[in-house]
Amino acid sequence: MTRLVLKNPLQFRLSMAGILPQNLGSQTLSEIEKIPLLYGNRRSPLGEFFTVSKTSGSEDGLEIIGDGSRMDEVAAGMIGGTVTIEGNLGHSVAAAMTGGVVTVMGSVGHGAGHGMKGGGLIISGDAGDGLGSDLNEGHGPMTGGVIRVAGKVGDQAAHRLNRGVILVGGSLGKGAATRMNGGTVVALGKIDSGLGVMSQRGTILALGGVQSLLPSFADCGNHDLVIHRLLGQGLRQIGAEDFAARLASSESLHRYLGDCAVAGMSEIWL
Amino acid sequence: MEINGVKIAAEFAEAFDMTATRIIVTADSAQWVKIAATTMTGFATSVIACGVEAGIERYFLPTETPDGRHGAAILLFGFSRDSLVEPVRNRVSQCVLTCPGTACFAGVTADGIKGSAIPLGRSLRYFGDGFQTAKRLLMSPPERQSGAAIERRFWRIPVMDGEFLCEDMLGHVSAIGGGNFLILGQSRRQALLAAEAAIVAMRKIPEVIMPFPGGVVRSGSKVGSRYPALMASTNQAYCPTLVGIAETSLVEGTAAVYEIVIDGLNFAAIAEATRVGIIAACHAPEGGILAISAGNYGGNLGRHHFKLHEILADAGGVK
Repeated sequence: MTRLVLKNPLQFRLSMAGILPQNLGSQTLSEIEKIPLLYGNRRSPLGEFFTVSKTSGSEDGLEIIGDGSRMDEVAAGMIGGTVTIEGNLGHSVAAAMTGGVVTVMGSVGHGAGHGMKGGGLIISGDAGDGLGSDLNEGHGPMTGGVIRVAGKVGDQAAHRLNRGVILVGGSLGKGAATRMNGGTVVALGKIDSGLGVMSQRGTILALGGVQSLLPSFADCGNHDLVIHRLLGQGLRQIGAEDFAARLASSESLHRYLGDCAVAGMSEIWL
Repeated sequence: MEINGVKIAAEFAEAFDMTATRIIVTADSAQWVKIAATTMTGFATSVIACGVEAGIERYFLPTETPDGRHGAAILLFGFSRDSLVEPVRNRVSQCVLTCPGTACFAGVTADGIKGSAIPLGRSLRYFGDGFQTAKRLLMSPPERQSGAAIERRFWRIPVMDGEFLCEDMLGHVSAIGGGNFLILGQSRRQALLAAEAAIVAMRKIPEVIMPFPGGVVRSGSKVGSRYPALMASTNQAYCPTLVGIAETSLVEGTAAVYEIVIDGLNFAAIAEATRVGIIAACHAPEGGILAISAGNYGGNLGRHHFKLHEILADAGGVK
């Protein structure tokens, strides 16, 4: 496993694009230290910012230690292995990742997991805006994988979500799941207004309630369906026992279908 | 060879290559699972006229099913993957979709080869008339309830009691059909009691079904007929009422013969079912079993031969 320990607090934003476990595993310490990183508006070698070391453990593992609030694009494009970050991160963590597991023991900025295709992103703190969204940066919508945030999440999460699962332990901001076309969003905290605007398909489990619902979502009544049991099983499969337990404790859920403004069939369960 | 005084003929059962799929049907109660499973496996005794051979492999407790409800595993056998497509679709659509509270899951993994898996929910979804939705979920593979999860796709079709949930595609596996043995009894009652005892024992064996009514066949057949339109006709050699006018394969004193036909997912499962079935029949409560034999075509038609003496070599009480 490769370990990067931040030497000093970052003054400018540092792009970690390309620093992926699959690229580092076979490189020597000196080779890793020479990898150029974009820092502000200049490129500097990685060794200028991090103390690099190799520790025991899997070769396709990467550990980053330090306050990375200005560290962007960590694990972006990752295809496998593990990345563990002890600290906060900037924007676009795990963007467009297709495999592996990224664990952040802290909070992350905007655009975490945007355009994600597979793998898992686990955030123990909060997440900014655009979590698991399509940010029009060429990666497209989220089409797979699992994002789990223990804390609260900003606005415009799950925009154009196509497949995959987003789990939010806290509250979810405004305009979540707009234009959603598939996938599942589960929130234990309250969801702010504008949920599911122009969404076509997909499932939102608003287990902590919603601030308000669009009038273009039709009230379909209370139901206890087999799909709820399967969603619970699916949550257990990905280790989200607390989400599964919360779902199981709901005897029946209230279903809203919409967005009728676009003849949508996405569902919000309260 | 004898077991408990019953003669075991030095015969073999001749079985054929088939293709099988497994469907897990769940419902709100064991009663409705049984109704759905029984209805779905009705009129599925023989591929000759029923399209498929089907039966209930076993029942599940709620802890064993994907949705935590009561369930049953149903095995369906056909001569090829293509021959299963329509019967599976029709049986599920008419017998399971219609049945209160049911859901349908694959029991073997669809191998992911496009065009190879059997479409189920993918076909039935059109019943939803545009109100159906699909859901992909990370779940255990169909064959087990633990281990690495795979993505499985389900269709949710709105119906009058909620939703009918149905797996998108079913996997299929190579299988064997036509394993069998014959119970020759002194009376119909004794032969039937022995057949019933055999079926009770055989139903505990996984990966096999006995597709005929109650698992028992009274109309053993031979290939062909004096009437050209018929593929099969009564096997006069095993008809006790024809002893004296037709060549017979019966031992003296036989008044009734019952056949147990076995379809299974592999040779070992059929062999084990045959073994436990024969042993149970030989220890039937009222006795009266004169011999156990098996049906074959001289070994020329099916490549799977279940030799009774080999299968029963280690059975207790064998002389």
